[in-house]
Amino acid sequence: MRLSLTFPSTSPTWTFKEGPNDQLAAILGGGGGALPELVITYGPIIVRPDEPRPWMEQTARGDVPRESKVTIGRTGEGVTAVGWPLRFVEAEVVNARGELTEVRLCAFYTFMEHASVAIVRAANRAGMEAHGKAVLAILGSARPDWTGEPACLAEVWDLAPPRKAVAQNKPRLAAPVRNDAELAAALAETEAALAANPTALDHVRRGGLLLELERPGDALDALRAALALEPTLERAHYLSGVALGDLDKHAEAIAAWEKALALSPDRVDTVYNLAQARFFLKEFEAALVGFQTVARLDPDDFMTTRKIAQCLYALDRYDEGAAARVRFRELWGSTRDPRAGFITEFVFDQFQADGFWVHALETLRPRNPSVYVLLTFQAIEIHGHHEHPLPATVTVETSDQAKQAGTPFVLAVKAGRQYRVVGMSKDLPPYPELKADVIRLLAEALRPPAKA
Amino acid sequence: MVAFPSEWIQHFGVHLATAYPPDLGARFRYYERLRPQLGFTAIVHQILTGDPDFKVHHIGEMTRIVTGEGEYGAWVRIDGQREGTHAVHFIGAVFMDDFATVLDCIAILPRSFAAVELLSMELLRSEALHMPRRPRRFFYVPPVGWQAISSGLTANWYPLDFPANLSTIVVPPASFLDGEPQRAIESALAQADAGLTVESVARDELTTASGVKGTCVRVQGHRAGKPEPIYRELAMFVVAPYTYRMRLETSNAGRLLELREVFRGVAGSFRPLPTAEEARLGRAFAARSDLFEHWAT
Repeated sequence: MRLSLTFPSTSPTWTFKEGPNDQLAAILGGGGGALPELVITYGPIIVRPDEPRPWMEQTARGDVPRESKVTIGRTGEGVTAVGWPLRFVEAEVVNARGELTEVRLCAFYTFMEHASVAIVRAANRAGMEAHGKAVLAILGSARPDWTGEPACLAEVWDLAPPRKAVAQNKPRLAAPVRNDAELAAALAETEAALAANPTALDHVRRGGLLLELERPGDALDALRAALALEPTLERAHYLSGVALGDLDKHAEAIAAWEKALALSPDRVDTVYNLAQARFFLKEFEAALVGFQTVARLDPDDFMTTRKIAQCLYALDRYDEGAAARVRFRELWGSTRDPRAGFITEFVFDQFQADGFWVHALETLRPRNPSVYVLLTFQAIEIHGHHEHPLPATVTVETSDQAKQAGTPFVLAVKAGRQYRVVGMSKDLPPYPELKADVIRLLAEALRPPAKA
Repeated sequence: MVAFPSEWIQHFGVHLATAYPPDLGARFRYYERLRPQLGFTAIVHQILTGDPDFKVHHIGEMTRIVTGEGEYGAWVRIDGQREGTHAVHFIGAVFMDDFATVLDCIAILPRSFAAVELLSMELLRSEALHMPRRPRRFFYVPPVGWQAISSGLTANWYPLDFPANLSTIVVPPASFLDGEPQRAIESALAQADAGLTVESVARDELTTASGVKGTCVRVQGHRAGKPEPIYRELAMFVVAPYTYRMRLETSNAGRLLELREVFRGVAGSFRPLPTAEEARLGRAFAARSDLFEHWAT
């Protein structure tokens, strides 16, 4: 629960800083080492004191150096723009030499059984008067923000994206709540219906249930039976693609999804699955076109931009790949999808070196913003579908210290438990150069030590 | 509580049990009381903060689950890396209103991911808390742009322009039905005019988007000694074994139509607490026919 004020979005521009005790400070001016023209501090909503006047006086007199004196000036009553009761209290602060050091305008709000305060501070009366109208508008915009613990079930289920996300690592049919007994019962019911009167829709239904039961081979047979009866059933082609994908028959899955797409060109799931299958088959050009179509059809699905970056890097189109990474970071920072806040890093490139593979990862949200890894190149071993990390990593790191030294990019290599800084630079080298260095450093790190 | 299979290695703490299934390369951690009950995003954040070595790469879609006892919950799969290798967190929570329980699982062997995923979901859905008769929050879509103040389990919704727009929507928790449904309805509706000198009363039926039929009463009156009109609207649903109520109160005659529309939107989005069917399927708002939804294009 906190006080909310609305600041004008046009100039003069306010900057905001978090202060102690859950306070926010809105600052006007003060750039380039100059003193701010105005500061407004505001914060939590408290339980309304039984005796509001002493609380108001204490607040208006508070937070000054010990030798300073505070004089309470005019007071007045009013209401905010939406009708909350408001009391203004003016105050002036003078130092031990009697010089005016601060002019204050305190706005005390009553929100039912609660209260809050905003304090406007200026170095002198002229400063306060110069912005008086704007200040009154800001103080008059006050309203309580009661946000806190969830008040209803809809607020508890708050990890859902604003609308259905499309991209999945793997094609999916429904929410992943398996209930095998229920699925088996539905399957028996469908098979009974098919025995009595075989229809294409019942075959598709059976195929879908078998897919849910993770029996893709049987599902494929059922879907083929459906297509034998009705060759233009889009859903049967789509699910055939899912079954073939589950069987690792990506080329055949592509053929099935192409037929589904011809029948229903705007189904974004099909476009995504096609692009993903082409990505598996290293048909990066075609995969890129598919992912770009998904991004166009579903602009809220920010994760697809990551796939676009991966395709571009796989095609050695590094400048475009870097632009896609920038776009991904922008979308990650601005999406309304609450899941985005949890993503800390992402893989943007994967390439083969001599005897090992490399995953290139970019950090999105560093744990410590003063010292952190920008890029990680992890050596890995791939066996079939499984990837195992090898004990060698190259990182591009940065820190406040490195930035101050004018060499913000620090290249380091970690081999087992050994960590070594390899170099520092003002700029990141072009990606092909960096990639060549990474491959060389990882190969050295993985090389067995020479025998004495 | 969640009962881990007896052959799993188990360790216990304060409202905490940790269990290791054999040969799966996974660890389950069950938090039996998380107070206050947070939103699922905050719960996931809290769990992931406790595993700083885990780097999140992808968060799956949240699933709204229902336990075998009919309690609502949420579950999500989170893919990432731990010490350079692919690892997955499966995080589920059951929402008991005054507290949540959380089942977190980390799996590090890719060959076990599918098995661990299924186990995580099954364990969560099998959680037994034996608290069905308590007042419970139920689902509705809150009025857009309004803010809630909680009072226990009751949500009091206020428009952003309150108090200029002197209106409120009050949604108390569902109550366990004792006695005849009709008596419960009449008793609740009789309170619709409490504290008012009544000028008019109207009563009709309403049907929610999910097909539940309810009763709606409109009362117009004024408080003793005050001339301002007060408009009340009470929506009530009885879906055994619970009764559900929602109330609009306003003195804003100028925007009465708009406010009634907002209230009808909230009441129309009402969903009764999970049915036996939803508990069996494990999904909120699911019906058996949903098993076939993927072909109904």
